[in-house]
Amino acid sequence: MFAALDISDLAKQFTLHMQDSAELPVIAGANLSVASGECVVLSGPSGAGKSSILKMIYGTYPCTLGSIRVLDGDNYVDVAMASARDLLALRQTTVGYVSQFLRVIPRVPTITLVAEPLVRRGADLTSAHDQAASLLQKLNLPERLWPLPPATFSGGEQQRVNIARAFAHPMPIMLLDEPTASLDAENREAVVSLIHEAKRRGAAILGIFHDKDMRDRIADRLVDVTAFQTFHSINAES
Amino acid sequence: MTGPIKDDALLRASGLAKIYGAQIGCFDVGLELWPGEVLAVVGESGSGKTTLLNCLAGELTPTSGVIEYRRGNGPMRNILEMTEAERRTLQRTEWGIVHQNPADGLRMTVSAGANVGERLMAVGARNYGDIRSTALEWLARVEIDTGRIDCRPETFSGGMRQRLQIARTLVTRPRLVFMDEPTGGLDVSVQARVLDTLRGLVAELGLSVILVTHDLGVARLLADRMVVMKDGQIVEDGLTDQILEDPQHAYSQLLVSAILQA
Repeated sequence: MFAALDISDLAKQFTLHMQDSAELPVIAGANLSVASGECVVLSGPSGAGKSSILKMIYGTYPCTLGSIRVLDGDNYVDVAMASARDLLALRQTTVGYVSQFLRVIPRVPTITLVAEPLVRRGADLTSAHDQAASLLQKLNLPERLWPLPPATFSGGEQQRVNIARAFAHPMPIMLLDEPTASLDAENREAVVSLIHEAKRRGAAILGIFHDKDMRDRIADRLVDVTAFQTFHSINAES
Repeated sequence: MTGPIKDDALLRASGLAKIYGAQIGCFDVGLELWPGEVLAVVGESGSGKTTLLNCLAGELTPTSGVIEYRRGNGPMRNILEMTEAERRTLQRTEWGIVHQNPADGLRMTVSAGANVGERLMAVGARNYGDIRSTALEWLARVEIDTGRIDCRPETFSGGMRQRLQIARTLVTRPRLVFMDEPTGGLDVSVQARVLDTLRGLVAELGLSVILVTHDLGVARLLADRMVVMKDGQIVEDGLTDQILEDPQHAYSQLLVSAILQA
C-alpha cells in the first residue's frame, strides 16, 4: 500500500505581529501518512492543532517546518514548497477540503452550486445537474430547496450543500474539517455512506469528527495530535 | 515570490516603478498573471495600487521596469517598447478596463445600445442588425432591462451604469480585464448583485483579471490570488484564502484584522 499523503516533521508556528511579534506554536514534529482507500481521523482536544494540520495540507496555512508530500498522478508534490500556482492546480485535481462552513457566492441556486465543481472541470451542464441532484437526494435535502440559494437554509441544510459540493468531484485526497457538526443522526448516516463510497474508489481521507459514533463508523485509524506538540525542537532552531 | 516562473504567463511585470517627483507611486513591483486567473491587488488608499493598475493597463508610463504581455499565442513582448498604435490596438482588442466611476468608461450622452455597439464597431463590426442584437444580448446578460437600450446612461442608477460599463467592456471578449474598485461607488445591496454578475461572467468567459480593491470581501469573492501593497511596494502575495486566514507580513495582518473585525 502506498501513501497518498505523507507528512513528516511538520511544524506550525504563528507569528503575531500585532502582539509584539509573539510566537504561537501549534504543531511540531507531526508525522503522519494516509494510504489510498484509508480514512484517518485526527483526535485531540480543541486547540490542539487538528484544523491547522488540514489547513497546511490544503495550502491555506504556510508550514513553518517539514514536508507534506501529496501524490498527484504519478508524482509526489511537496505542498510545503509548492508555489501558489501549483497549489491551485492541486486543488483542481487532487486535494479537496470541506469545512463546517458554507462559503459561496450569494444568490446562486443550490443545485447550480453543487454542479459547479463538475462544470468547472469540463462536465456538460445536464450530467453535472443530474449528478448534483442525486447527491442532494442522498443527503436528504428536500427537492423544493434545490432551486433556492442556501443563504437562508438552516445550519444542517447548509452543511449538506457543502458536503454535496465537496463530494461532487471524486478527489484522490479529501480533508474533512468537522463537516457533520450540525447534522442529525439520519443525515450523518448519509455522510457515512458517502465516505465509505469514496474510500472504495480509493480516496485517502483525513478528517476531524467530534462525534464518537461517526468516528467509529468511518475511521480506520485515529491519530492523536497531542503527540505533535514537542515545541522545544522549534524554539531550539530559531 | 510565487515560485518558479513558468513561461506560459499572460502578463508579467518586473522591477516596475512609477515616481512622481519626490513621491513614490509604486516601486520594485513584480507580479505574474496566468491565463484564466483573477489576481486582486489590495491595500489602503495611497498604497499605490491604482498607480500600478494604470501602469499595467498602459494608461500611465512607468518610470522604470518591464511589463510583458503575450498577445494571442505569440511570445512575451514588453508593452513599453511597443508603438503607441500597437498599444492602442491591444487595448481595443485583447484588453478591457472597468473603472470605479462608470462615467469614466461610458459615454453618458449616447444611448446604452450605442455604448455597447461602439466597442464592437471599434473591432470591426459593421452590420447594424448584428450590433443591435449583440447589444441587446449583453444588456440582458448584465441584467439591464432590454427596454432601456435606447436610453442614455445619464438616466440610469449607479448600479445600472456599472452594469452597462461591464457590458461595454466585455462585449468584445477581451482576454485580460483591469478592474479598479468595480463596486466601490455602489450601495452595499447593489454591490452584491454587481459582484455576482461579474463573478459569473469571469468564470463563463474564462477571463484573466487584475482587480484593484481596498475591500477584502470583494477580493475573497472574486480572486484566486492576492498581492498586498503598502507604500508603493508589494509586501505579500499568496492564495486568497492564505492571505485572509494566515497573513504573514505585519501589514497584511493589520489589514486583515482591521477589515474582518469591522
